[in-house]
Amino acid sequence: MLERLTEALAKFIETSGIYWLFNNLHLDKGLDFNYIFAGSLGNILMILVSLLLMYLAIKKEFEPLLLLPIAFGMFLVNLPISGIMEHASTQLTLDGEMVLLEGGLVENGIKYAMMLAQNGVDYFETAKEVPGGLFYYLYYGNKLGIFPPLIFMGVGVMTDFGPLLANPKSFLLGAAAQFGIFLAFFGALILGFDAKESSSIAIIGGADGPTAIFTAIKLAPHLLAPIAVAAYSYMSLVPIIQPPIMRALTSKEERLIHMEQLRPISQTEKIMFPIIVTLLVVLILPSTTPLIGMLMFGNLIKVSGVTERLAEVASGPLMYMITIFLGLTVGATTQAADFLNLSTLKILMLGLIAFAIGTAAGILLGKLMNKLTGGKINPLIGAAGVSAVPMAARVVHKVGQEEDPTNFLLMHAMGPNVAGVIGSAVAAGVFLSLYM
Amino acid sequence: MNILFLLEAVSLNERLAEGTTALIAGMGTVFIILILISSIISLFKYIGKSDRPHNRSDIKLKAFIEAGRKVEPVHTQDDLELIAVITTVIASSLNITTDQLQVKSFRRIRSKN
Repeated sequence: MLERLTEALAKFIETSGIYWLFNNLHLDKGLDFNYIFAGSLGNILMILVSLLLMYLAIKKEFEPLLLLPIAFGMFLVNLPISGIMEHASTQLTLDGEMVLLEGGLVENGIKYAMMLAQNGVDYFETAKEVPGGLFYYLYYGNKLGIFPPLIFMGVGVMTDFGPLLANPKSFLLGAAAQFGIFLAFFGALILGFDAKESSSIAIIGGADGPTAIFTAIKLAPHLLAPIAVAAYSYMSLVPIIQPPIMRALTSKEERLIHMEQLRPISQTEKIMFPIIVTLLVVLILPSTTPLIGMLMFGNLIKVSGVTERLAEVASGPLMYMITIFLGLTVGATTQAADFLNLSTLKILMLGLIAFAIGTAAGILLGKLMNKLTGGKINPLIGAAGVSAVPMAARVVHKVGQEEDPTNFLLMHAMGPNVAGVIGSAVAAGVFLSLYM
Repeated sequence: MNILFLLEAVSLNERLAEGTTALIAGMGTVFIILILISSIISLFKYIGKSDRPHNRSDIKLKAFIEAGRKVEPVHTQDDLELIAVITTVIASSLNITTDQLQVKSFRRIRSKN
């Protein structure tokens, strides 16, 4: 009896996460970091990072709607043997022996047939699908490219293109800010990534999570984890990354510029905008259809004024539901064993450079436009050309108000900001047409 | 060793050429598409003229300002600015645009001291 109890207790301890942590320290091969981070120290490091991100989301309120699910997904997946991101597998019994194959029954159908034919085996006794973890299934929303366009639909509902319609020149600022993307592509190629990988990494510079995920899924799915984490982290960290660049590239006089009030926009204009943009962009770059199509559809159901309930669902419950799934599953891609490597570090660095250059390019074009219009444009609004909506516009507004509390740049910055959303989707479309 | 070095150099040159092509083609396409949309949108103002919104908030605000002018002509300009400032701040904090807000009433409270 006592022996059985001891045995059960030992088994219980051996299957616990704490035992796994102590049993997988991976310190027996010296300073081989790849080996060390594949063990429990990697998990501990990632858990600490997740706690830091939770702190930033809760205490500092850096895009908490996104950052908190990402951080918690990261936390869960790095708790040892949680199995939450475990892929589905198939258990076969062949001549009394058990074989475990990666993937579900359907995925393995062809594989079985081939294996049986090659080995001359006529049958197997049992075939049982072992279900994967919860996040493994939720992750299919990313893997199949479903979540990013749905998020874009919600963004479309929540975005007011009025400031852009009132000041169409804003489009130029949205275009200039995409410079960071293409320069990062250059950098990624030089650092040894191939063209498809470089394209996916470069899109991080647009500070647009859904577009970055969408591009990575199509071109470099194996890099999805670090790309998604970098894109969403930089989106959350816009208030930290952008202001120093904005202050460095503009003078106090420029930051003090008050801009003229924008003209009112009619409903007809608002309705025509999504239709015309979809028509033009999709005709030129068909690969952008899921992103631009859903963004503009979302906007249309809002501005049409006759589908308020659809707009409410798309920007409310649906959007938040997808945000929860997307955030948790993006976070869950950061399993220490796969995530902690040199290539992740390179991607994070390239993403940051791309984002900083995009911000700088927007500001510099803003300065040029300021000169050409005789000082009517505050160059700060160029920084909003990266597409982190509406965070980038809010940051512009805040930096402007630091100099002059009566200067309201928010609506002026929203123009380049939403132009940036279209711009980064177009940039993604360019990469998809070049390399897919 | 020299051959390897040569191969690496060729590869780097190829990568630079690839990067330059994508940079020019990419930025070119982005600018062309966005300039095209921008040009078409700049024509919208002509359609817009016949269909300008006279939304309720505008009308109410104008009526309010008119009423304010009759009662307290001295504060009209201040009030207008104040309403604009308050509306923008509220819109900013709620993450919506000012046209989604409607100013229903606005009252100055005299300082007690």
